[in-house]
Amino acid sequence: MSFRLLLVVLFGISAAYLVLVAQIELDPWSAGDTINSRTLPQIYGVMLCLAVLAMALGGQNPQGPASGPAKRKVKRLAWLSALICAFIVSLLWLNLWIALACLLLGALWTMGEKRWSVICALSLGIPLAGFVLIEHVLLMTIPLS
Amino acid sequence: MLEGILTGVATALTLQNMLWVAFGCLAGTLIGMMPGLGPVSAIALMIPVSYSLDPTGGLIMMAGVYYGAVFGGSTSSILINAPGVASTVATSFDGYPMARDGQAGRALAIAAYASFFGGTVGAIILLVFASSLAAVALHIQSAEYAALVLFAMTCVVVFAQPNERLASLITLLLGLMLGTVGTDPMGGAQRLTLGLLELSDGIPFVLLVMATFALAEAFRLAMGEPQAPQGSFSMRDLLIPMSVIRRLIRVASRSSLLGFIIGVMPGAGATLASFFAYDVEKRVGDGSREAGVTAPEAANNAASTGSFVPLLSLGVPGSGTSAVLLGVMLAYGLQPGPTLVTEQPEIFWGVIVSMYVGNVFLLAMNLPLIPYLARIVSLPQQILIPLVIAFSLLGVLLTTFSIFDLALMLLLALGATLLRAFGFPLAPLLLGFILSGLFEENLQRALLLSDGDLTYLLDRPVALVILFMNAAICLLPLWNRSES
Repeated sequence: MSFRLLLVVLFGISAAYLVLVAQIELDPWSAGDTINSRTLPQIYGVMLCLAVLAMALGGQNPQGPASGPAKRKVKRLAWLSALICAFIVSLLWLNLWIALACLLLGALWTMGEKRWSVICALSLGIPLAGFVLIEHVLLMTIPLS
Repeated sequence: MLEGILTGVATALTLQNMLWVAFGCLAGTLIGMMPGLGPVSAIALMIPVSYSLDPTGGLIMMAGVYYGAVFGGSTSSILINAPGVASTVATSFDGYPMARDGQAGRALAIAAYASFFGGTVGAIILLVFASSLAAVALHIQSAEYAALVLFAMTCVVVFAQPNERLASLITLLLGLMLGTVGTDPMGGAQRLTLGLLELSDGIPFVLLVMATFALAEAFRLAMGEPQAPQGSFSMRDLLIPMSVIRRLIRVASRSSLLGFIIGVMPGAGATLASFFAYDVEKRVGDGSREAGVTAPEAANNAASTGSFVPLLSLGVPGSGTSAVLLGVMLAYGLQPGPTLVTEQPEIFWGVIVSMYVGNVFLLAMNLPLIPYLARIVSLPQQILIPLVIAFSLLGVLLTTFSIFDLALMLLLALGATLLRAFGFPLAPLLLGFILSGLFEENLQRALLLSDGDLTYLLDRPVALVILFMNAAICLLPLWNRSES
């Protein structure tokens, strides 16, 4: 992804934001206020559009690589994101601590840890410690929604 | 007042109360170190314990929990870049890079010393000026707050590196925009929720912090080249050269004073104080990483003490944490306010003196632990990254109990990773998010008082001075350019 493309995305976000702000429903008694529910968001949206345009035209780039992250590096990021997605979905039908154990197992493997003793110790030990500390010592219940 | 202080000393230094403050500090530190659980959660979790104590012992323990949790939050900020609470975000800016460079022990030691210094300065000011400061705090109203918040936002952009000003403005605006999601605090309108019920309360702050700092940092590390584990740590890390101490004392003094003043203002709190102190130090001071850890730590501890001024003197909670403490006091049948100091001086002064005692305990307990805590960053990356991911997800889940929030967190973390990859600073995004609601609420309230007249801001002398300062620093880059 190039820097220009990132600026296009940011401009798109600010434009979409302004469209959504225009759709905010105002109460009849607050519509005439100097500052109502739309005013500041509109100012922020317009300012972001202008700032992105200024960056695109002025070429004032922040410090950083010109072409963004390389493809091979993004692959690992994609794997970790997929694991987190799987963790989130599994929470709908798995117990939190079991899902967490699976996430840790997958993430450790993805990051290159191949020692099964370490993988098992961490992916079982941490959820177990969390379960004891959170649900038995601190007496917190986790009602997921 | 001297009599009151002596009463406080006599109350706080009983063996029973000293044990409670030590227990509070330990429990607060442990809870505060868990990502997502900050001082508010720590105090809320300890409420059942406090009910079994007498009011003085219970409140003294809670003061210890408060301090301990603030320090515990700094530990996770420095070690894994996962600030569970807003007030320790600024600590991670320089603390985490220090930890990555093998200076975790030193960063933690500096944080402990700075916290102690800030807490001590705060406690001394509180002892001497508690009643008169409360009167001053009453004069700071919505118009002044709105001007102050605007000033903070301007500082973030103007004082950024010249080639990062536009990038800082863009991330600040993104933060402000994220802060507008949810129900409008004054008008009650649903904004930018896309019809989703989960967004009607807005985006939780812990979620944004975890996404932009902890999870995004784990992603960044995962995409980078593997790094060798950082060396070993020992008690020698706790010894800081005299020349550095002399330099840092000046930093801590400035930041403590600034932190206390901001902490006294109801609603401003430790977060604003730590950001302000960090920013001021980066501009006025030598810009070293040690100073970058010292300033926010000293400021947030002094501000934590300062937030007790409106609570104890006026009965007005100055922050979320002191609001929970107010609830505890009311449950004990105590009425905080001007009458507390006359009717129950042993509680008023006992709590104030125990804050200082709590600081001493905190330092004595945490310093020996630092070499062990610092070993966390010496874990190989293939272990550290999965742990950071797991703890940050768990932190958000424990705070919001929402699966939707986890998905939102992943989305925001990917966005933050992309922005960071192109060199956009993320600190202004968080500051914008924090200040968004504060700015809008106070501006709307000021306009409500003035019947919609914007010139009302100019009629109030303190607000006018802040706005004038704001305009002056906006012109600073132009002046610098003409100078060069």
